[in-house]
Parts: sequence; C-alpha cells; structure tokens
Amino acid sequence: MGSISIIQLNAPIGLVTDKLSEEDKMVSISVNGKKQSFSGDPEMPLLWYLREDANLKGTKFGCGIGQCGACTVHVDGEAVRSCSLPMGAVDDGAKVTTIEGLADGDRLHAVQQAWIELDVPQCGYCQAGQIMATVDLLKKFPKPTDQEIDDNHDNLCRCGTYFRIRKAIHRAAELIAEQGA
Amino acid sequence: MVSTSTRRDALKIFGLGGALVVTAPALLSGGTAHAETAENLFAGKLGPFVQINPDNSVTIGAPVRDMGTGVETALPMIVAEELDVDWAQVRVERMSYALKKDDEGTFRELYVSQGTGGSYAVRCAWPPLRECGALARDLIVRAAAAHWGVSKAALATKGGFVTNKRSGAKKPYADFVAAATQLDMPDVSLELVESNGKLFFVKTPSEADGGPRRKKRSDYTIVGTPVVQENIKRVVTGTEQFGSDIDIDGQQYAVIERCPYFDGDVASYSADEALKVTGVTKVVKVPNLAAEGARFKFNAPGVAVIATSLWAAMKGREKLKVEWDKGPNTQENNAWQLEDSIAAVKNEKRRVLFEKGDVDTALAGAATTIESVYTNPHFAHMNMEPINCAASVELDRCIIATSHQNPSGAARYAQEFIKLPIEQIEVRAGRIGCGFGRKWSNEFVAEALFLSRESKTPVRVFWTREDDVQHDFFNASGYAEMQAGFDDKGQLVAWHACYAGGWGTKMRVFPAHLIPNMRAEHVFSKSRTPLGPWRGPGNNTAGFYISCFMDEVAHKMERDPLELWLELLGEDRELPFDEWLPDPRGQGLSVTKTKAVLKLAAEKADWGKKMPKGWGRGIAAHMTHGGYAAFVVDVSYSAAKGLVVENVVGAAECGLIINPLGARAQMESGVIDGLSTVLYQDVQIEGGTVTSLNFDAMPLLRIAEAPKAFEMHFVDSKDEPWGTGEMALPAFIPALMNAIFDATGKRIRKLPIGDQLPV
Repeated sequence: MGSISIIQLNAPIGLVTDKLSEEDKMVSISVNGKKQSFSGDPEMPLLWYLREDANLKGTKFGCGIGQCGACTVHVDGEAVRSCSLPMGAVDDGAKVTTIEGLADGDRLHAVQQAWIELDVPQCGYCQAGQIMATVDLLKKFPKPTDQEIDDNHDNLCRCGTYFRIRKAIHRAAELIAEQGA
Repeated sequence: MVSTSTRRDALKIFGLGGALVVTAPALLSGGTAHAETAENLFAGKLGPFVQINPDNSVTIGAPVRDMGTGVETALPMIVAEELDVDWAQVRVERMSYALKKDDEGTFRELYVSQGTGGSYAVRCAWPPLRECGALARDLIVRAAAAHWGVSKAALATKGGFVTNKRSGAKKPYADFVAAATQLDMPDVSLELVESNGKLFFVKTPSEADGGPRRKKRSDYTIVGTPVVQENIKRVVTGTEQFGSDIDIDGQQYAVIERCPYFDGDVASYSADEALKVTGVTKVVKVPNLAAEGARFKFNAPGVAVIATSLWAAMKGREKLKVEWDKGPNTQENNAWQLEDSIAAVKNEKRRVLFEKGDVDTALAGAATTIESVYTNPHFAHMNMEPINCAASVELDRCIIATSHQNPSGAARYAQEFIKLPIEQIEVRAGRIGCGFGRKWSNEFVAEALFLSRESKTPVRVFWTREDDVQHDFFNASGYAEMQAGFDDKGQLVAWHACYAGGWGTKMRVFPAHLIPNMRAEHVFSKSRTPLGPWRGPGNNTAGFYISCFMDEVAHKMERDPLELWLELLGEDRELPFDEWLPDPRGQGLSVTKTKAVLKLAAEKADWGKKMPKGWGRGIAAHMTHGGYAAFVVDVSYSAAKGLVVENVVGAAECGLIINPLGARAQMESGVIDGLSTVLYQDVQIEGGTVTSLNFDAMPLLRIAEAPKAFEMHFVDSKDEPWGTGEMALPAFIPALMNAIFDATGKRIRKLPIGDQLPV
C-alpha cells in the first residue's frame, strides 16, 4: 500500500508528510498553471487529490464511477471524470485545469458567461462539471447541433437545468465565435 | 397567541454571515421602558437584513439556504423592493440563523424561518421580509425628514436616494445611516407568531399609525422582474461553498460501513486489517443513536473508519470485516412489498380520507363500472451532493459543517445530543447540492457529532453515492385501487380510491367534492423500508393515480378529458380542504384556480389541435401545497426513436411571483424530475436491503432525453406569493402518462415505464 504524501514545490520541506515508499512514483503535474508533485497512492483518484491535497473544492464528487460528470476537469485539454482517473494513470507533466482555473483572471470563459446570461444553475452542484464538459464539447463541435449536444454531453443534473444548459451551450458557441477565443 | 417581549434582546452580536446569534436570557426579564434604536437592536444595521454601506451599496442578508430553489435571490429581492433601492446596488450575503428563547424557555427562530422545504421559504418569509425592508426605509426617511425639517410625506425615495419634494434636494441613503440608527423605534417589537412553527417576527406599526410605508404592488420595480441569481458567479467559477466543501480545521475523515439491512445491527467486527492502512487512525463502532425510548433506529448502526485522508478512510473501510445482525426485515423485496400492499387493502382497517354520498350503493347500482390498479416503486433522492456532515465537539464548543435544509434544527438537535448550551454550538451551513426533503433529518448530524466526540478530533463523515442511496429514506411505494361507476346515461356517479402504502398520500384533492358519491381511503402496508419526504410529498403519486384514472374515465365516457374536468369542476368557488403543508391555514381547494391553470395550459397549447401521426397529447392538473399547476404534454412514439417528449406547455397559479426566472426554473425542474422519475426511479430491494445503489443501476434523465420544447405560463395572480418547488411534478406526471396513452393506446399504470411500451 502506498503512503499518501504531498510535496508542493513551493512549500517548505516541513510540509512533506511522509517518506516516499519505493513503489510510489513521483508525478509532476500542473494544476491551473501551478506546478505540483504527487507521490502518494497511485490508486487514489485525481478528484481527491484536487479536493483535498490541492484544496480546490470546485470539482465535485457525485458518484465515484464516472457516471454523473460532476467531477469533470481537463487533463491536457481533454474533459475527464476525475473520480475515475487514478493518480497513477496521470501522465508526468500533465496539465490539469479545474473550474477554478477556467477564467482568464477576472475575464470569465465564454461558457461561464453564457451560464450566467441564461441563469443556468439551480442547486449548482453539478455545474462545474457541466461547464468543463461544455468547454471541451465546443472545442470538438464549435457550432454544435442539438443532436451533437445530445450525443456528446451526458453530465447529470438532478435539478433538471437541461433546457437552460442546451441554450447556454448554443450561446457559448456564439460568444466564442464573436470573441474569437 | 402573541407574546411580546422586550426589544433589546434582539442582540447586538447578530451579524451577516456570522455564526449563531442567541439572546442573553438576562435581557428577557423585566421590560425596558425606553425606546430602542437600530444601533442597539441590530448592531448598527437597519434591521435584521439590511446594511447600507458608505458607498450607498446595500448588503442584504439571505436567511434561507439555496438548494436550487433560488431563495438566496428571491428573498433579498423582497427586502430590496420595500427598501426602494436598485437591484444593481445590492449585494447578498448568506446569513446564519438566529435563535431566541420564548417565555417558556424554548428557543425559537428570530425574524424568519430558515428551514427550506414544503414550498414554504418564499411563502413564509414574505411577510417578515417586507416588514423589515419597510422598516429600514422608514428609518432612512425619518432621518432625512429630521435633516431637512420636513414631514415624511414631503419626501420620496427611489433607487437608494431620498428626494425632498419641496426643494428638489436629493441625497443617497448612506448619508442618513448614522442618524437613522440612532432614532427611537418606540413601536417596534418582537412578537412570537405562528408561521409554520412559532417564531419571532419584527412587528412595526401600520402606516396609519405612523409606521413604515408598505408599497403597493403596482409600484413594484424589483419584485416580478426577471433577476439572474445574485451569487451565480461563485457557482460558475467553483468558488461557492457547499456544505461538503466546508472544512473544519484539523478535521479527519470518516466513512461508515453501515448495516445495509433495514433495522439490522452490527453483530461483530474486526478492525485489525483496517488499522494497518496508512493514515487510518481509529475504527469506531457507531451504535443506534436514537434517543432513549425511541421506537425505531435513528441511524443505521455501523463501523466507522477514521483517517487523516478520505482516501485512506475509504481504503480502510474495504479492509473491515463486519458480521451483520440482519434484523427482522429480510423478507422485504419488491415483490413482497406489492403482495403486502394487496393484502393490506384486503385485510387491514381502512382510514377514510374523504367521503361524500354513498359510494358502495352507487357502485353496486351502476350501469357500468371501470376498475384499475396503479402502482409505483420507491423513489430515491439521488441528490447530486450526497449527504455530508463534519463536526467538531469540544468541552465548551461545537462546530457543525454541513448541507442542511434546517440549520437551526441541526443546532437544536446537537444541543440535546451533546448537552452543550446552544450558544456554544455553531452550524456552518453551506449551499445545498439538492435536498428534496432528504437533508432535513439529523441522523447524519448525529453520526458526525458522535464520531468527533468519541475520537476527540474534528471529523468529516463522507457519504459515497452508494451510502447515500443505501441509507436513503424513500418516497413510498404505492398501490392504488381505483373504481368509477356510471349510470345508465353514462354519467359518472361514483368514484372510489383505496391506496396502500407507508406514507400518506394526498387523495383529498379533486375530484373530491365533485362527484356525487365518492370515497378515498388509505391502508398502511407493513413494510419497514425507511420512508420520508421527497419532492411533492404525498402529491407526487396522488397526481399519477387520480389524474390518470380521470383520463380513463373520460375515455370510457368518450369525452374530452379537459371538457370533463371543467364540467365536473363547475362554478368558480373554493371548497374546504383540511390537509395542507406547510400550515393548516387552509385557503381551501380552489375550483377557480384549477380551472384557470387548465384553461391557460390548454389555450397556450392549442388543445384540440390535430396531432401528427404517432403523436399523442395528455392534460392534467394538480394542487400541491397551495400551488396549482396544469400541463399539456405532447409525445411521439416510434419503433425507431422510442418515446420522445416533443412539447410541454405548463400553467401555474402560485400567487405573486417574486422572480420569474426562478419560478420558471422550479417548473422546468419539476418537469425534468417527473420524466426522470417515470423512466428510471425504481429502487430495488432484496433480502431487506437496497441493491440499486448508483447511477448505473438507477439512472437519472440526461439532456438527450429531456423534452424537446417547453413553455411555461403563470396566471396573473392577486394572491400573496406561494412556493413553487413542489407543484410541477405531481401535475406533469399524469399529463405525460395520458399523452403516452394517446400516442400508443397503451395505458401504463405501473411505474417505471420500463418495457411496457408496445414494441
């Protein structure tokens, strides 16, 4: 069993909580542009690294089996369900983007802007995942049809914000085209 | 009963976003003769909810947690309206609850009830929030009147400015805050009133007695306008704090292997292997935490693994060895529950919910009768954010961090459980990632308190999805026998409904009163599957049984179902109704409103128009907690595409609408939830334990399956605001099922739909 130990490159040595065990490989990743290292249990999902070790609470737990998408983040630009991605399967040097890292400083991403414009969230818990999935969807389908949305967006929303999500996806596509982003 | 207490005890330590506020009991004894000021009563704020900042921006407290209901926007809108400020000036801050002892020593909530559920947040907060907004404005106006040496009547307010109508001088509210907080408020008092439970309201004199002005509805500029949620940016940037995001300093993580058998227990366990997992610090048996003398178990007993990280705790749990005492309910499974319900209808004493005329004679003498049986399985909550709670119990202090529909209820529960004065208990309640009734209970709070006390460390109890479903309390499964009798002219003369299930269902709604001979009955089944409130409690399945059977009646009579409903409803009137959440004030069962929503939905959907081949449409209406909804649903059915919900047109009468964007969202939500429910909700039980534990076994609706079009219309209501969260689903489900019959000729009386559609 691997021990869980976290080294933040910019943190004092004293924060290293445990010795690295031999079978643990050290993974260097960047999270929202910040370099991080991980050398704990390679079976631990990325989700728990993000929420607990990196203290980025915007990414949510919903099911633990990759069904609901509440935990969606980007790894090297691709949407992944972080509850089902073990740290051992994260490539050395991978770039992870979470909902907290989506905006460009104060300038919200077009998808976030569209989500506000259409007043999409209800409880809001699944929306970080919805937004991260949509950003990836719009890279693949810059002007998606309803059918393409149906075929490629399957994050769950228990409150039932799907009518607004669909509108917001179309609106975000427009904003991205307008903004040339 | 109204008891007035002194004003001084609405304490200074009350703060926006702060912790618990409790009055010092000493201040309750002996009245204070002198007049009070806002400075003393509200810590310099202009009442409980209003703070005007030096830059003339306004901070308004949101007293009720948002769980997808939009109340952190809607409630501050009410205050802002009476305050006469522009919404653009307003910033909303989540408030903690406040408690105060009444004369009998019981802690009551101050100002407004902070619980959320039963569609009552807006409805119950409307009067006190108007009062508090009006009071704050009045203080500003009084200070301005003194400044200019004129009467209040000589001043006008708009957009956060006071204008002296004589001189034309105009100043921002902020200029008068210092003076306003020093003004005496001789007639302002805290009164204990009944509002879905007793609570203390701020009472001010009427306008005629020199008190604050209350705005006329025709003068509203904020209430009734579409407002995007104030805190939405936090949600879309991932910075919003849900209960599961609120850490307590030094917390460890616990996961609990709970007994999966209803009313079962831990027989024995071994922690040896679990304790070898790096990071695991303790393994603790969690007993039944019910108060002494309680009839049933409160929580599912189990074994908790506590660790320095969640992952270590989860790994540790995998290594636990637990033997279960399976308890007395291992015979329970879905088939047993159905048989149990059928037996209950045959053998158990029936509780009469509504009776009119002589239904037995009428049915016996009827020229023709029809009989149908409707059934539904248990529905699970499946909240996107599973149950969660962290607690830190120390000798003189307790912190609880959680998503809870009733934070002050959690505090009062903790007071009993850990025997600390309530002043030393703080509940940090975050935004709620869906609740639907599940997050009102306290057994998950009890577990966290227990584990923190036992392990002497702050503990966050984490629930996996499987934990959340396994230990849910469910919307009751149901079995309903329906009979209708017709005379020799084919007229409907008798209606008999008997419902078996473990939770009351609202069978007193229409067609109660409308049919000459009618009886609705209930029998309890023996099932011990845990039950509790779920969206539209009691109404969610009543709508299905009643409005689908009425569609059958219309079909039998070869009548248009809308025409039949309108004919039965008859003249506009209010009929008595004594079963009503959230309080029994009972405005009655409204024929007027039912007809209004049916007609509005029908008109907007162009009821009667010809449907394309393979399409069908259905209509239904239902009243839930005082809100009336009707839907016209169009579906298509084909071998290639299966069932497609093509169009949904809804109409609702829910009183004055505070925020149309929010009200509409609640209707969208009920429609999606309703469709998801009839397609997928199907809790599986085997051997007295739940076996459908995650979204793979019991999915929720996805975007591809959502209705292709939706429109919603609201009746222009003269009434005060009612809630909107619960009312759509109970009306939508029967409209959908009736549409499926119209499209396919197949009457589906058993939920979920599953494989019952023709191939």
